Amino acid sequence: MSEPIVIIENLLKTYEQGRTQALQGVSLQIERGEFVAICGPSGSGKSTLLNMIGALDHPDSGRIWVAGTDLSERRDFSDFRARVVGFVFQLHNLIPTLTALENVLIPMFELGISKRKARERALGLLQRVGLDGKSHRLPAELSGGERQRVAVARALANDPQIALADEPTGNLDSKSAEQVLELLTEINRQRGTTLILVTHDEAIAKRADRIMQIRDGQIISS
Amino acid sequence: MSFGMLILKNLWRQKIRNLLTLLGVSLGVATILALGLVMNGFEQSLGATLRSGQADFSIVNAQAPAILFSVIEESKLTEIRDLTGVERAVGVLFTLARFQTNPYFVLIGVHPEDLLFVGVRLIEGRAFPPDSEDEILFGKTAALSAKVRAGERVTISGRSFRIVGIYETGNVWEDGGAFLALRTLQAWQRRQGEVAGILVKVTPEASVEAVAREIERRYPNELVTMRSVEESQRVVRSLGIMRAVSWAVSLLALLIGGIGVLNTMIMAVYERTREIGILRAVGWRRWRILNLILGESLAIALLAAGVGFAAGVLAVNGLLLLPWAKGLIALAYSLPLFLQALGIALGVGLAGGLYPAWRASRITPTAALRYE
Repeated sequence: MSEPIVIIENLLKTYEQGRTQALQGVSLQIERGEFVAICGPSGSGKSTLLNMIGALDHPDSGRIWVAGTDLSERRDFSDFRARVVGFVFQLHNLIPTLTALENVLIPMFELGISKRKARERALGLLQRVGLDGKSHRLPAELSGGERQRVAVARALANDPQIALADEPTGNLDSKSAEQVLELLTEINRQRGTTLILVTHDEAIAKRADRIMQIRDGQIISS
Repeated sequence: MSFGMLILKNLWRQKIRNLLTLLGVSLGVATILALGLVMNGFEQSLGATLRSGQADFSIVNAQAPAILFSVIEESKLTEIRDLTGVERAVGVLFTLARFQTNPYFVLIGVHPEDLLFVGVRLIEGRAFPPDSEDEILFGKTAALSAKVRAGERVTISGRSFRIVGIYETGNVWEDGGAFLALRTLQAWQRRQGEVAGILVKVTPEASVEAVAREIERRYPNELVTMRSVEESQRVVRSLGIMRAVSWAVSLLALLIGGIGVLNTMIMAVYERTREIGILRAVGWRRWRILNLILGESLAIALLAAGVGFAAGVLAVNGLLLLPWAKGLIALAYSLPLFLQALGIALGVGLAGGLYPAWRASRITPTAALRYE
């Protein structure tokens, strides 16, 4: 463990004009290269926390630094998302009219790399997730597990420092789930990509270096 | 895959809807183009008529509701000839008659010695003598579309004439009609002692402007001089009305097209809310989302302009197949007109796409990802 890549201090987030308290003073640190599982029942605030780390949402108060960027500021963090993080959602969230290859190319639009280089990188990633023969298939022509593997390839398209996975196996059968988890773990081990995985499944959480338990918007153990 | 490819792919997803929107806009473009081609052609022909042949300007009755209904007593023609600075003044009478299936056949009466002055170049046959009652010169276009030649007899509004020659002036109205002796036309139309207009050429040392002003000063509210299409609008009020109507029709067509684009793009943004959220989540900036949606609406507009150009040109050329249209309508193709139509189409695309694009760019990733 070297330096912290995520530092969170006393983070507060409410929804519906304060009626729902999603995060109630969360503080934590995650080291670079760590694999952390954020574990908790549904509605505990784990996805909200992940969205904060990925700059998809703003906190109401508290401080959050990710890879040296202060995400507590109220501004657009598109550039941060484009360069620092990669997301894998529970639903694959692929664009249905684009092929597997094109879906992987989408994040690279913001990186200013050449078309040829982008294509090479995307094909390499699809090969890595075991879909090299299916790069020209549409999401509808792929199985659930294959779609989620395309989503993993897309999350890695920008070579992120942190991969954020929100219940990535929630909609998969156990065999496909195992493949996707292995893929994510491998990326963490081989590339040193920090992996933060949100799950309600203790068995999945056990694979992580560290488990953070979250209940009612508060970290109860880490 | 380039950004442009992505735009086209997105359009292809809702091909029927986008095609209908495209047709709506192209209808507007075709209307603008067709009306523009005809209007510009009309103005060109009018301009050529006002300065027919060697004339510097024309005179018509200031009270006439249209040039066709202008009446000037021939005594005034004599007075104008005597004015300082006037080298030559020629009286012209014109009327519309029925010839074959064409109810708008233009008949022009002039003295034969004035034929050259008004720009008539004989390409076949000879001119008519001043007292000839049944001899007529046919314009090139008129002869061609009626399939008649010099030497043949023709019946115009029930009266029989012999074609003694074929001419060309380069003016669509004149070439689509016929010239005959002024006295003959006056007698036939019971308009003895009248002309409809006077064509004036000033002496080399005189100023066209000064002579024209002097004539208007002498005959206030009676005669009006016209050197250009702009000036003619004092008399040809219909020109202004035609312009206004053509603009109104065009704007209406474009408004409908614009609302079509707006509706289509708003629907596209709503349907793709979640997808736009994903694009934002993977790092797409607001302006790129804005460009994506605007790009789609501009692509519709650009394609619509292409379809509209083809449809507009085909429509007016179809109109010209009608026998009466040939002698009345000359199309004036001009690059500015096409650029104007293209510009308006892109303006419609921009106007229709701006709000949906702005809406799309405001979508937050978290809200979109919750959206089903």
